[in-house]
Amino acid sequence: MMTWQNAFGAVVFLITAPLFISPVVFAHDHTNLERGIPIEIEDAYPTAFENREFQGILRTRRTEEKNYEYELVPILEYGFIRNGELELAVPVRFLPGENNDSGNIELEALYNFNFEGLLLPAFSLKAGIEIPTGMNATGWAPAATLLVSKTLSRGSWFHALHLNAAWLRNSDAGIDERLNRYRITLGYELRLDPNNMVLMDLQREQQKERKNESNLFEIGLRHQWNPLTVLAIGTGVGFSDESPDFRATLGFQRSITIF
Amino acid sequence: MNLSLNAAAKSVAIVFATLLSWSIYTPHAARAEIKIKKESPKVERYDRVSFMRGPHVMKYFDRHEKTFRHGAAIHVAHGKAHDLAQRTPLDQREKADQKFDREMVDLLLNKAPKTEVEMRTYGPYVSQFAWDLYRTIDWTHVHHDQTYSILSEPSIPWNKKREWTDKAVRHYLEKFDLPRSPAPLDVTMRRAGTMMKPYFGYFRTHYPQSNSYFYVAHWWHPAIYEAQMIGGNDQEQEKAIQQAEANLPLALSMRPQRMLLSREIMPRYSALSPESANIFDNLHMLHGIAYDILTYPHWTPAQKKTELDRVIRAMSYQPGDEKLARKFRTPRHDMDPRRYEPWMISVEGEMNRIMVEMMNEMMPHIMPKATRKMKKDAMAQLWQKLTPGLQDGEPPGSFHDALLKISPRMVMMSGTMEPGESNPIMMQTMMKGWTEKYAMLPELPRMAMTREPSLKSLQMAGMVNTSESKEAQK
Repeated sequence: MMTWQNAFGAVVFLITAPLFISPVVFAHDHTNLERGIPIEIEDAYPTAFENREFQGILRTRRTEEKNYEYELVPILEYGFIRNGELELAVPVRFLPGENNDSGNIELEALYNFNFEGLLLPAFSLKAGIEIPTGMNATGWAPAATLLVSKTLSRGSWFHALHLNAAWLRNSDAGIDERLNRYRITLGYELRLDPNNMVLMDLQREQQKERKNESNLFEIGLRHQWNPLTVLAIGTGVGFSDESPDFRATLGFQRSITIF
Repeated sequence: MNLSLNAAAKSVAIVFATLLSWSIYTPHAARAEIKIKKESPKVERYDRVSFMRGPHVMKYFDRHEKTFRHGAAIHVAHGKAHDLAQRTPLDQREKADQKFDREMVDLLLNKAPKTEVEMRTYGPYVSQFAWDLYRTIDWTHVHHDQTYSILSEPSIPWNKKREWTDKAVRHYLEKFDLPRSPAPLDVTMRRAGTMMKPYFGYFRTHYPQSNSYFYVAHWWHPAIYEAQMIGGNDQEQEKAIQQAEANLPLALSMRPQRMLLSREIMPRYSALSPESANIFDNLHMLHGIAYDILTYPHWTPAQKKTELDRVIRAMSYQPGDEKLARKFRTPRHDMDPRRYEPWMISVEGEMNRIMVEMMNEMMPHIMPKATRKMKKDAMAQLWQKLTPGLQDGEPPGSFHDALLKISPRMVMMSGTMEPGESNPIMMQTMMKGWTEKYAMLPELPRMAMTREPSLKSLQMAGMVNTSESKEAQK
């Protein structure tokens, strides 16, 4: 039986799906790394002022119980102020179990403080809230992330390091759940040629369940398919008991030009 | 009473006619005092802006992918040249120049990318101390793409091309804090006042091959606009672009020896949108000045940033610039962009006319007691510096150093050679010179876009077709 949360997810998907095939879009955001496209690391730079962009992520992961979980995340991004962006995402999850939190609305705002110098990295702050609109969702979950980026290049070979340090709060934590937790991601970006970027990252995250931590190594490729489309593909492996065995991601980014 | 009424009517008519002619021939003289905001922020803002939406978006890529890719390859070269100039040790320049040119020609002809690159992905080192330079260049490249796309989009009727191009110019000028000026290069070069700076001509002298690669690029860009202008909205646009593109190998083997200006290679587009045409000239000149500054070996990155910031701001939009936009002539208003001709290769042309004019305006002030021979020698030195590569008898180093050898008592305001400093007296002297020469120049008439052009009608009007052109070139 379809719950209202699943129906909501389906509506969001149906509304945004035409954008996947719309010809009136332009991806000029190739170098601007977004979380999950295709790996977790994000750079400290926002999308351009007044840019409207549609992003999509399709992710699968194999849990330590050897179950496969699937997630579809449509995202709208808007450069609402200079050096700042807003993101609206509605992850829809297809789990073997109860699909908890599927259909939650995630709202995030990022603000960049500077472009990097020869020594000084670029800094951004991101604040977000997960609104419990999804399946069996209970508490609101605010989060704050510091994003740092530094180009390493001393020649024309473009490569850069990125650090994301997030604080995540669970306002409705159960007795065996954490109230506050962290997620640290260290990433590396390398330009292969004008159309391709390779990304790698290492992530450590405290899970909601107390005493559980996950470690993940990911690698991904961002490819500018044509000036209309950036495609991304990534994979990751966990290397501790509570980490996912394996995960794979497909992603894309497009700027919307219809409004 | 009748007589006095007649007299009154005549007076009104005279006043009206005077005002009318003033408004038509308004000299739009440059402001008596030039004040360029002196600003060189230590920490730069990211500050990027998105493109203008409309039916044209990405039509240039869809319709002329090969041509789009050539532009993308040229922009890779532009990005890469920053780090080349900044990072190459003095003794390795010759080899690096040849290698860069070889690689960039190969990329352009054989491996042109499908992605418009940002400057920082190919010149990442310089991005870390001169970000304002990069975002200025990237933003103007976006304007290039938008205006090519407007001309490419067949659903925008020919008589609406100006409206859309003007809209793109407004978007370019209003949304960004450091847009290139829509005033002619004659004005912005006088404002920038780089001729007596110690880095002047360094890239041209030390990287002659790479420098002339960009001279080819600055022929190619306007030639494509002009091919669109003579091709119209229909399939003739493809034909005209292909014919212009066919000259690329020839242009690379017989390269221009000066930076070609929009008014020379795209006179029709310049008449359609002089603002947009001037913006491109101002960007192309900024490329050249930036490479000169980065090649100069005696300043630190911080000093180079200070000077780049000064030049970027001097050549950016200043209130009133739009009134000067049409104050230039198109020397060959009926040129055929499908032909690559000897006059495009010569060192003599509009760009260097501007440089010689500026020198003539400066000379009485910096060399007040110069003899005729000294003036002649100074001008000969200038021509040598304007020619790519080190010429016979040309002293290496800056034009200022060369002038000091001719006139050891040359008068310069102290400190004006330093990074970030300018010589306001000299700038005003040159602007006065420009005002005297060109303020009364009738404004360039707007291109009538009422009828879509056809290649056939151009041939009937006496323009030579491409096969004849090839014969002529042989």
